[in-house]
Amino acid sequence: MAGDLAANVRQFKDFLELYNHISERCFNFCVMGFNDRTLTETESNCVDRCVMKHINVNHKIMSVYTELQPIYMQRRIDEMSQQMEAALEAQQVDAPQQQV
Amino acid sequence: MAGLPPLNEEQMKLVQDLEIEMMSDMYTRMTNSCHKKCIPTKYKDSEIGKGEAVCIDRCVAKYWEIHERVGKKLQKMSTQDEETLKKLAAEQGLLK
Repeated sequence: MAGDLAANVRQFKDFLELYNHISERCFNFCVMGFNDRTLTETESNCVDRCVMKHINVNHKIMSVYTELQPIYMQRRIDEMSQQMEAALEAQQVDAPQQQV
Repeated sequence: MAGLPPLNEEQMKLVQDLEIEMMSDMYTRMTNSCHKKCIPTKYKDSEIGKGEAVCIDRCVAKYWEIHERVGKKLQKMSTQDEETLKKLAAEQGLLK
């Protein structure tokens, strides 16, 4: 249960960081003039497009990441087990020599 | 924030701490953005000019508005995602 909570908190924190990041980037990109306190229609539309773009990019990245991650994880596991086997073999070659 | 499952006290405290941290982060970003947008780097004078003051005023207002909009959009997207996931899960349940 504690593990679940930590994972959820982590996920929520990532979400909030993304939120702030998107706010900053879309503000920097879209707002050019300060004639008034309220957003102009151009700025408004720009922000809408910017936000949707960021969200779609995020989705795409996530989907490709989840597709590739198991492949790379498996490769890493295979390499590590190969290394361990090689280390064991080297030990076995040394051991009988030491006994003699 | 709406859309979170019912939480106990401990979880509420964590969420509140996170929100405070994120508000502080937002404030820092806003400060940096508005400084870049409104204050030219010539630094002729240490006092804030009238133009700069007005610019900062409107910059902060606009940043808040954008921050709110982004929040609403993200919430809408995440509820949409949840519904899509539920539909997929239901369909898979039926197929199995």
